[in-house]
Amino acid sequence: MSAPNRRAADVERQERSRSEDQELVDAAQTGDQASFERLVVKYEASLRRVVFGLVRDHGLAEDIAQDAFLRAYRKLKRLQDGRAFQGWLFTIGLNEARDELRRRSRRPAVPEEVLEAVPDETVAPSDHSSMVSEKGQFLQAVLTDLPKKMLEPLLLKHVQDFTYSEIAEMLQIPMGTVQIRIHRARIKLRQRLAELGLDSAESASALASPKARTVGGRT
Amino acid sequence: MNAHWRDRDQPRSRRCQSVQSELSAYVDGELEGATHVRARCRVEEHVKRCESCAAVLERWALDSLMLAVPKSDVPAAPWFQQQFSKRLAETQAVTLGARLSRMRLTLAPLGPVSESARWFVVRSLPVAVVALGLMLGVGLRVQLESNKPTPALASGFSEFETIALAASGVRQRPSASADGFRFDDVLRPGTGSLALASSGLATPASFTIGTTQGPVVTLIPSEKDR
Repeated sequence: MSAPNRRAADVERQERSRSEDQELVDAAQTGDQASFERLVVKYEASLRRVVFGLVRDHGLAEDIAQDAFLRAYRKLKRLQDGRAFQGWLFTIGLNEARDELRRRSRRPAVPEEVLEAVPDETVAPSDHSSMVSEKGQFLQAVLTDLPKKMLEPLLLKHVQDFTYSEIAEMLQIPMGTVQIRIHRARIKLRQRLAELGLDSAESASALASPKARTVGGRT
Repeated sequence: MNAHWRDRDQPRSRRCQSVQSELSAYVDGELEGATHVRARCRVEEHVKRCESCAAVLERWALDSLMLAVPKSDVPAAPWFQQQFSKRLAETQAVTLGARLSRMRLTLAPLGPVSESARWFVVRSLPVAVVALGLMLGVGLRVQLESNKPTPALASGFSEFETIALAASGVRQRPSASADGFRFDDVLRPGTGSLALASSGLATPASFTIGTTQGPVVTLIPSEKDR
């Protein structure tokens, strides 16, 4: 399939998806819980992925996604356009994620002597996937500093690989605004990397996901 | 702004500046397709000649890789929807409880309820429920008993009075059992007198205990009280 045809197919798929969202949101707004649960099934993986793009911890991303769906359910009546559900949900998810990371950063660190008093076996987690890697912590810190308006389009572009046009639809802003925000987010990101002494190509290369290098186009 | 950053990445000419805004779109693959040919060519030509912008392009491309999360990196969570439904049900139950609690506290017509009054209401609520249950239970049993052909009620007492007497009127408390109160040990058919406590009924000072069937006590006033 040629690139223009692929684009046209993507647009049509998105259109169908938005119409379906509208129907499900309309039904859920009248109290049909099963319809909302269908939205959960439809978007849980992509929401977890977007949130993971910020928090870099699968366990935490899952908890935040759960909270985001609960919040979305409670606030659903305020959503006037059901076609905008996906972007609205991602905004809620990223807000929850930023709040959670800020809460965690404010929490006092466990004193050294307390950590020493805890037996080793209780500290060692059985599931290593719940640990945030050094790279993850670094990305968390850099991304959390970005203004919300820049963070959203940046993550939707790089984590989900949505097009500018799709992001514009989702966030209900003009496409030019998406381009400017992503551009500014990049410059801010570079600034932060430079402040942290990680602005060399080698450092950035080391932080890149090995899988991401091999995946071209949409992942 | 960091000097290091400014030297390397800040656009040095107006030309660089105008290209850099397109550079971002170029990195994101947004300049593909026939409609963006001119913009794409402009970026590519500029980058060939400008080392600074070429370096920016390279770093931005690496940043994109750094931020990327391949689908395969996100594990499946088949329990997610079920867990959500469970949490939603729990949240709804808590919300309902909170609403009921608010209703109970705002029902007081005389204004806000003090903490001690609230404590009293909360603590006495189960007792009231149990008492109501017992009264209903007793009433039901009495009702069932009344359907049976019973010996003629003692004259001077209505059926209602008899029930009330059985439930609360006697000074000596009936013993509780699984099927209700038992009077058998206390009230036996025969003649005797029984002090009545706070029944509020116009009761004779002495009477004959007629029959006892479960909680139903038939009292026959003495001749002198008739």
